[in-house]
Parts: sequence; C-alpha cells; structure tokens
Amino acid sequence: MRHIIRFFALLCIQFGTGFAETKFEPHQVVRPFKAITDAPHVGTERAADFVKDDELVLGVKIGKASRAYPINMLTSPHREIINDKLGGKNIAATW
Amino acid sequence: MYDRDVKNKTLTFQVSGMLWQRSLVMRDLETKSLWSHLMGKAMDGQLKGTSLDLFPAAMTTWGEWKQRHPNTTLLAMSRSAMRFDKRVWENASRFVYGTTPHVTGKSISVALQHLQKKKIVQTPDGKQHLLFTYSDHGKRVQSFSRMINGKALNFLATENDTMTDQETGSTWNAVTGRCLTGKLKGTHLKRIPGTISYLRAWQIFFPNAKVIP
Repeated sequence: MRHIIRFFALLCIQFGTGFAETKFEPHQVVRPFKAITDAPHVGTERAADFVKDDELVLGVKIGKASRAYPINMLTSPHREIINDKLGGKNIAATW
Repeated sequence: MYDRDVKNKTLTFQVSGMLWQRSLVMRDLETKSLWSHLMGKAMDGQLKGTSLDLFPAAMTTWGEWKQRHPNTTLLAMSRSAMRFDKRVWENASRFVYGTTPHVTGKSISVALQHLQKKKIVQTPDGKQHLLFTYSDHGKRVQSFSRMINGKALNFLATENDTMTDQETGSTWNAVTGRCLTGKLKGTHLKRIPGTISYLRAWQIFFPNAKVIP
C-alpha cells in the first residue's frame, strides 16, 4: 500500500503541477567569489569613458532614481551580481 | 533585478561558484541559503522556498536608455566581456522573454523572434492577461498587465512604438505603457517584471512551458 501511495504521489509531482521541479543538486565548479557591494557609478557626463551607445545595458528606475548596468560589466563568474542601493531600495543587479 | 530585502533582512549575494541546471547559484552571506539565479528562489538553507521580489528592468542599448532617462547613473567598472552590444539581437532565435512562476504563477514566455515580428504579443492566460511589447528603438522588450479597472484590454500595434486598445480606441505608448490620447489618457498599464533569457536555459528550467508561438 505504501508503495502505491508513494507511486501516486510521484505521479502527482510529475504531472499534477504542470512541470516537475528538478531536484536541487548543485555542483561546485569554481570557488565562491567575494560579494560586490561597493561598485562605483557615474553620471552621464562621464559615461563615455565606460560604455558605448550601442552596448546593451540592464536599466532600472526606482522612484526618481535610475541606473544602467552594462551587460559587458556583469558577464563573468567574478561579477554576475551587483549588490546595490537605488531609490531607497536594496537591489541585486544581475542577468 | 531583484529586491534584496527579504523578511526584514537585507541580503548580500555572492556567486557561490556552484551551478544547477547549468545556471548560476547565488549564496546570501547572511543566511548562507542557496538561490537559483534564474528563478530568484532559495533552493536550500534557512530561507528555502522563499522567492525574491523583482523590479521591472529593461535590457536596451545605453544610447536608448540615457535618452529616455537623462539623469541616469551608470555602473562604472571595467568591462569583463565585449560581446554584448545591439548586434546580439541579430540572433534573436536564441532568446526568449519570459516571466518566472513567482511573478505570474507559472512561467510565461515568448520567442524574441516572434515578438520582433509582431511588435506586441498578448496572452489570454487565466488571471494574468499579459502584454509583451517590442520596440525597434533600443531593441527592447517589456511586459505589462492588460487589466485596467478590472477588465482586460486588447491591443493592436500601431506605428512608432504605439498601440491602440480595441475597447476604447485609446492610443498608448508601447514602451512606457502610458495612455497618450483617448478615453484612458494618463492611465498607466502595470509593468510586470520579466527577463530576456537564452531559450536553451529557459527550457532547462521550464521544460513543459509553452514558448509563444
């Protein structure tokens, strides 16, 4: 009986929810990286030193504050996540 | 773009160095919980089961962003890659724009190529009634709820990043979601946080989710 229940439960997990959430089995590929918490930012007047007009950015506006995060600065295992503060909110910029 | 404030705690995320489903796993320094980067959900540790709230963010070109937000600031670090400029969108078939289950109950996604062609895509999906819009200027995608005053509006794409709703005939800005002229002038559609993702990565996380079309 217990087997039947277990089988049925498995069926529900597989099909009942529309998709099965794969078991969380992470594996370590590189060492952890230090969290980035104090990343510098500049206004538009100095932006040309850092980014070109046709580069992709992830832009966010919170209240009256807005900030752009160039994808070319986020891409790499030692970056990926920028712990930041904008418009009074604590945000993690990541793509 | 995640909100780091969770249950009266401000979390600080680091790259854990782990991968799950070929995707980044984040770790927060405060509780050491492990988070799926794509789902924004704690998969293990003290906060297991918790999902991070999102802020709507746009992936666009710097040129388009600063024109739209003249007072913007810019992350000012060295480049760690060079390949992400507007030419990335020439390979649109590699990308989807999607929302995660925490935001819309289940993942909803649309093929970028389809969206580029149609300019707007609507989902009839249950309670959500989503609207995805694409702008050639900046090649950006955004998503909105179509619900206004308890009713879902149906949109038709018109020229220059505008659209018209069939119910009132009002004209809307398809990027900002603001009604420009007509009965609903001044009304804003609610923005829904979504993300551009690689199709391959999205399908690993949501193998049974239908990508529109």
